[in-house]
Amino acid sequence: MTLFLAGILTLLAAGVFQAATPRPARIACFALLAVAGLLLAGAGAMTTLMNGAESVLFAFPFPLETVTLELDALSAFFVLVISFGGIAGTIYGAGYLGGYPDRPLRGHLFAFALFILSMLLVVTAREVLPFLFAWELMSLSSLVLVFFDRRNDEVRDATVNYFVAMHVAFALILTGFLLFMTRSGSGEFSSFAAATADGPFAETALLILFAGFAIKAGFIPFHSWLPKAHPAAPSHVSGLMSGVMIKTGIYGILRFTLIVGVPTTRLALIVLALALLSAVVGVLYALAQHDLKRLLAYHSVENIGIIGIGIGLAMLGLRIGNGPLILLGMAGALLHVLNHALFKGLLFYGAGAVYRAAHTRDIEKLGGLIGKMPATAALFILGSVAISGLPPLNGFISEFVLYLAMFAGAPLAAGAFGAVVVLTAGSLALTGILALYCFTKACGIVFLGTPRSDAADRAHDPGGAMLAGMALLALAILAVGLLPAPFFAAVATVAATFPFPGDAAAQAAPIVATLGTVSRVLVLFLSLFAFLYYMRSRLLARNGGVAADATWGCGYRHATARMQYTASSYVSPLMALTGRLLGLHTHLERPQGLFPARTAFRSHPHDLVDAYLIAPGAKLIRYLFSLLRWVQSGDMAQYILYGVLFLAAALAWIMGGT
Amino acid sequence: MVAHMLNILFLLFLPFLMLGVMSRIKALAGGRKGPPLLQPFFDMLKLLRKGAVVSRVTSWVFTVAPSLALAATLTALLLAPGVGRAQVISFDGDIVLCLYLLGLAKFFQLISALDTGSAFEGMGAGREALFSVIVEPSLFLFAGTLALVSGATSFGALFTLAQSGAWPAVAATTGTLLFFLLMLTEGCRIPVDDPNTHLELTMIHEVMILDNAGPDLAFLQYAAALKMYLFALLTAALVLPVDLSPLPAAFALPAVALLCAALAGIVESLVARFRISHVPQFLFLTVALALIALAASVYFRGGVA
Repeated sequence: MTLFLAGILTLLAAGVFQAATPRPARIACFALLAVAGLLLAGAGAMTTLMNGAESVLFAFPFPLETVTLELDALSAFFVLVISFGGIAGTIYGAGYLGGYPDRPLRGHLFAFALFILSMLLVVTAREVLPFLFAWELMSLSSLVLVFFDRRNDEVRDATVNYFVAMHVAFALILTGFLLFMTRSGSGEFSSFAAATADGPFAETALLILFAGFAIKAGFIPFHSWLPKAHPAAPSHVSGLMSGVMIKTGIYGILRFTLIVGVPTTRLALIVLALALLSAVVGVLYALAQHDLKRLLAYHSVENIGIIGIGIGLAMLGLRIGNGPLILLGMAGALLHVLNHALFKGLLFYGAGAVYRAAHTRDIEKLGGLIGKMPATAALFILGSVAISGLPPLNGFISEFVLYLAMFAGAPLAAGAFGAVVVLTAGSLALTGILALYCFTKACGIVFLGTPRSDAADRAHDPGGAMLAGMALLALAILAVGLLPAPFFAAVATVAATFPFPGDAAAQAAPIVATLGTVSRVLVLFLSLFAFLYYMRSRLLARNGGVAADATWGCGYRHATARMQYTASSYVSPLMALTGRLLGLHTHLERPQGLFPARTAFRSHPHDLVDAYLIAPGAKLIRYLFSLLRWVQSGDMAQYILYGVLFLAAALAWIMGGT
Repeated sequence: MVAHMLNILFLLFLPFLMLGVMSRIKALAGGRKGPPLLQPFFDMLKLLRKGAVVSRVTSWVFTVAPSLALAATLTALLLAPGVGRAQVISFDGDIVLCLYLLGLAKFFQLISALDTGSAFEGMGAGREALFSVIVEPSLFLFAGTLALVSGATSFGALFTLAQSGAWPAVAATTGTLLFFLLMLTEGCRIPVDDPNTHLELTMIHEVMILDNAGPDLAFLQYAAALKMYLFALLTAALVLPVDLSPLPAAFALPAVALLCAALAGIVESLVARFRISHVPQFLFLTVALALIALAASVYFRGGVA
């Protein structure tokens, strides 16, 4: 705990001291202190994971009175994720911000420090007021970070949208807390368990609370802000928001599940259903995108869905007393929290490097970058394989644990619950293969083939700090993928803090052994690959080597970059099936006459939640407020009348009181 | 041990023999004599002795993809149930690793096709990806259903059905049909794809490997044949009796595989290829079959709670 507090203070110092440092050294000063602070905080969390929970109590005058910061297994795990993501983000950001030498960045760096700091506080706070304070600090500081490119209209819209969404979330969470407090009579989270005596009441309160957290996490249909805010933010911020910040929503859901104990069946099924919806629809929306960062943002929705599947299964398991579902579902979800932080950070940073080099996020204008920016391309492909859940990388490990949960848990679940679990397995498989489709598109169109624009042709790899930030994440991805056993053992200890029937450690042990076998098979696969590649190169050398020529074009040898397949055409077979469900607008100008001069095809993905939920909702609110517009007439006499009326009413109230 | 060695031996020959049987049956149905049964194997040996012409557009992705795809497919096949349902490697959840390794192979084959910058290859890749999107969930649904009933989590045990009863009959029927459809789809056979077409625009799998040559092409074709063989293995694991003694089991497995190939050959001789826009409708059959199996399993487990 001391280490953790020292880390928080160092982080705060990083935010303050950089402002006093002259501009040339400002970023470096900030990055050094921030990384040091995060290392300290991470070390603190690590010792907690090994030694057990610790807490520290501060006494304050009214209204905070006491503030308790506690590191238990769950908090420590999230602190580790935040610290590691924060370190990579800070290093990458130091390089990324180097591209803005004419901006002072004082405010930006200060907000960046506050942002990471507030996330650390959110996952360690144990009372309502400090939690809400940290939560709001997190929203506001990230708002400042999103609003970096303030001259851009799109960024301004996204910022406003984000601002509103975060405060709707805040209102919901506040309502949930207040409901709990009416029963518990205290702002301490641990006292909330008292409300469970009244089942339906606790369920309603939890639902409201979870809705608030779901907005932050980005579950469909609460995701509207996410695909707007993430592309608008500068890439070092997008990576942190997507990889780390939205996980605080997941943390909230887990924390209150842990406190309240066994959830109702309905609640578990609602969480599971929303998770499945988010996973499948999130990736379908991602497939339709042309904007690289927006595509990645929709994948965050998908991955939050996968995490939610684990949580939903675990909640169902808690309800029906199903050991594998609780332990493996929760462990899979937590592992995916970590994994998503790693690969989504890497992918956003890669997209940032591409944007930096080619000045566009439009996939259709990129291409052939693998020759121009080989390091970024290799890292992005690695991240893509990981996010598609494919071996031998980390995404596979968490999905593997989730499948194990379902395969081992289904036979123990009675009646229809077994079928629910199997259907969930099918949906997870669908999500996985759709992610594969989407990321072959992203890698293939952005990095492979030939450049589709001059800007893409002139692209080059970013500098050392940006690559270092990405490489750090790539190493972690490989570590979790190839040596999964210790990582699983760690999340299993966190999962075991949930009310588990039987001995959790005894149930986790065979899975640790299984993961050991998995990593041996993966090593076998890699050796086989190395052997085959060696054989192939030897054979080719012996058979007369490799001749270079043009790509086969039915005998046509002058193919241009514009003749390549595009991202839209690559996904068009799928869009023909699902486009209408997704609100995909297409526009086709057919070729006319014998010598057609022009033809055109355009497609615009529209988010149905935006079109049918958010837009009408906003219209309704605007209409309702327009009914009150007469209050603000601008007429001075009217305002004086308000004053007089108020005074009269106050007078009447006081006199009535006495 | 003997079973493992047989499994590995079968991996080397049976996939080619299946291809040979298919083309022999098609030849016979067309009134021709047809090439030797092991012709696909000789073709591969010939390809291994050839050089390659590689597009200037391609990168390292194109270079590593064939070896990576073959390595992933071979490793996946080591996890599959073979003679007497014995797996060379087995552990809890091995089926997930097996199918996801095939996914890895697919990932690299798709981006290797896009690496050439050819519109033909992009087209083939897009179609292949869509077909996988439809068939992949059906496999997991079916495997999940088997797990739901058997309580097993390992490949071989998962496919060990009870000797008699209504549920094993339903599972064997739906499963055999499902795997046969998957074999045709993943093996790129008629009515989904036509391995013998000569027009780039109508190819799917073939067009993705247009620019591959020499050993790389050999690797990709072997990987494709292995994938087809995997579905024959799954069919065998589902339908062969549990209490088969080792010797008949060693003969039963190739028999089932060649029977599957013969059936595919008969289908190819009788059926025309579907219009590409109709293939997804056909593939939804696999999802339907898996859902039927799931519904049946819930019914036979004692109804809906």
